[in-house]
Amino acid sequence: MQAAADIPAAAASRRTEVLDGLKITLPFMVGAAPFGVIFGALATSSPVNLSPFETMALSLFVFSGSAQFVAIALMAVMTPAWVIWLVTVILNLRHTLYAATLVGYVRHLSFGWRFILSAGLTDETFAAMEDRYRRLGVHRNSHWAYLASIVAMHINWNCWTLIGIAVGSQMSGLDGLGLEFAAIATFIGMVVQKLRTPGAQTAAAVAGILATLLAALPYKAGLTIATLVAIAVAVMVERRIEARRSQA
Amino acid sequence: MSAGVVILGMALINLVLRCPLFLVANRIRIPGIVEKALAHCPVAVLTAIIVPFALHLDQAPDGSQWLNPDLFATIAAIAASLITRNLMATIAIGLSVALLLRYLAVF
Repeated sequence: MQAAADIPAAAASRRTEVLDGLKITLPFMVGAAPFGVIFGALATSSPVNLSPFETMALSLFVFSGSAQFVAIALMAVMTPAWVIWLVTVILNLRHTLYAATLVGYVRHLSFGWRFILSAGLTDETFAAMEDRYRRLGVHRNSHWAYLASIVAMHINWNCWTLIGIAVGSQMSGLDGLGLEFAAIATFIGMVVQKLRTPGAQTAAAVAGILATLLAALPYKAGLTIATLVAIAVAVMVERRIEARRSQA
Repeated sequence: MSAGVVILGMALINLVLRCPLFLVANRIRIPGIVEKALAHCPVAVLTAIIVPFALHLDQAPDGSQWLNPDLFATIAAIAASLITRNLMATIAIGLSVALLLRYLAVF
């Protein structure tokens, strides 16, 4: 990864970077939309019965779809706060991995920039920006594309939550239509395009199999375990291939 | 405990999980082997999200609902991505299959 001194001075303008950040985030915004509406509708209706204010506070300040859905499900059955917090940690441990993956690309930025870019990081912006940095490298204004992706995802998520609150219980059949597949489709599109090396193929195979076998673990703990093991096995496979190449 | 306190705690936890590494970024170097490992992070995480969703393991961890509309939508989305290499086309085709199979109540 590049240090600050290596970053090319000649780079796209901020405006170009912002527009490209929006462009690569748009599919993820489409994917997140149904979830936002369903979340807003579920959180404000029975049995969860959060106020519109509390529902918006979740989308504004927690800004994590899976954690928000699990939290309202647990609130509905009067789960103690510490359990909900523990579940939030387990569910979102992967964000620490995301930060570790991207940290080399933001090292040269100011403290304020690094705070905003990390606080707003989600599955979607991670997928979009990791791919972009890998394709284009770090340039002087790359972080404007990153910021644009975060702001767009945030506004998108909160607008759809608000719409969900507004339509509320009238849309009770909404979660049975299959709209949730939109978000999964964006993830599929990202993964398929990355499966070009034996390492990536190994990571996908191990992650898919382990996540399936560990699906019964509570609060999606299987997601984190499957991810870590898949990464480790992929590295081992890559090392073995490299060793074989150097022997030949 | 009130919902406000729960929400505040969740917000703080998310900051603590997301921010520390970025905030010390100028003082740390990620070792080469870790960097190589993290390159596999996107594929590993996303696949670990996709497969259980496709097999409906959230609703039925025993796998009894593996044959469902989302499984076929997943297969369609993979095919669409391989053929078109376009994210929007992948969403459109995958989502269409997911909605259509439910509408037709095939399962």
